[in-house]
Amino acid sequence: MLDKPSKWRSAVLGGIAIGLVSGIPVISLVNCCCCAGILGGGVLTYYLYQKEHAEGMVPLESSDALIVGIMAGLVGAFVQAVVHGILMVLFAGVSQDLMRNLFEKLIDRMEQSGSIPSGTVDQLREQIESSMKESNTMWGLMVNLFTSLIIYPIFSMLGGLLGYGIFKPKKPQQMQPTPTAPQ
Amino acid sequence: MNLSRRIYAVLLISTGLWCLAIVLTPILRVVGGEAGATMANACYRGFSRICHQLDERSLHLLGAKFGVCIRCTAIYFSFFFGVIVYPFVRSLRTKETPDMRWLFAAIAPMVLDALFNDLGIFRSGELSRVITGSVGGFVLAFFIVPLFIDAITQILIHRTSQGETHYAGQTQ
Repeated sequence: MLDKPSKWRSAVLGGIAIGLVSGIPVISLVNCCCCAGILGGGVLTYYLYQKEHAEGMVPLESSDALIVGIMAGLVGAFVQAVVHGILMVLFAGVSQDLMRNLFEKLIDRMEQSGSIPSGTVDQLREQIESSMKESNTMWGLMVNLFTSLIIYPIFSMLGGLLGYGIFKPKKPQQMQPTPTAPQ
Repeated sequence: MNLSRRIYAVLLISTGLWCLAIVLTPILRVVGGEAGATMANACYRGFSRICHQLDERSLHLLGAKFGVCIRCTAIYFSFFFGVIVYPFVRSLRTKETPDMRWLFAAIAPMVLDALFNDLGIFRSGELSRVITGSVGGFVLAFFIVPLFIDAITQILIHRTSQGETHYAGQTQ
């Protein structure tokens, strides 16, 4: 039997997806919904991995899903830090103004639609302002990377395991023995 | 204690510690002094990667908010409860997960609740957040526990067999 496909390709692709979803402002808000971006990235990673699996190879197991999920989470943490760093260096002032405007519009829309209570709006503005200030320093970037290296692999691993549950090959149903005709 | 039980114990303790960290964060902030406040800030910062932590949408203890919002709290605590309940309902040796449609059915109300609220279609209250989050987290445990135990068992078995092959190769 042939060996299983290499995990690196799918882990890197899944990690890039996790890093982009988590690193690009506004899109990263997806992670506020139960870490959906990272969990989804884990599922995507396992999907890509099992697509590389061909007939005649050693069958995939849940341990492969767990490992490929962790790998994607680690790659995702670094990609997210790099994306964040690039945005910080390239668009330091511009991106802050752009982000502030975007968030302001988003908050106004949410306030008008009643999605967030008016008492929360000021608090949300403060939170965004302080996190923008903190994250746009080298120290903030390092702390960001450190927390990501702990949290992303955990949730990506869970995503990988769920992906295994979703995409694992169905066992062929056992055929009922056909009754033989009496002679 | 067999391997499945040991792996289950690790999962149970890890999930318990995660939930404990959520509750300990406000306690540390209020009664932990300067060192406690520093640790609480680190916890808030860590949890901020996975939750919005809005004051209005969080449970409070001693006047300080939990590490995560009320929906996330419901998910993690019900997941922990699901992990506790699991061995009473299914065998730890079972590799098979329940039908995936159950998972989608359990998570759908939570996703719709969050989505409709953010789109302004309706305003979800604390009760709906707790109920939908709890259902999602509890059902999720019944999928993660067998997959996690199976995966770690395979890794440990592979490692042991590789070690034995390596040892046999050295002794020959």
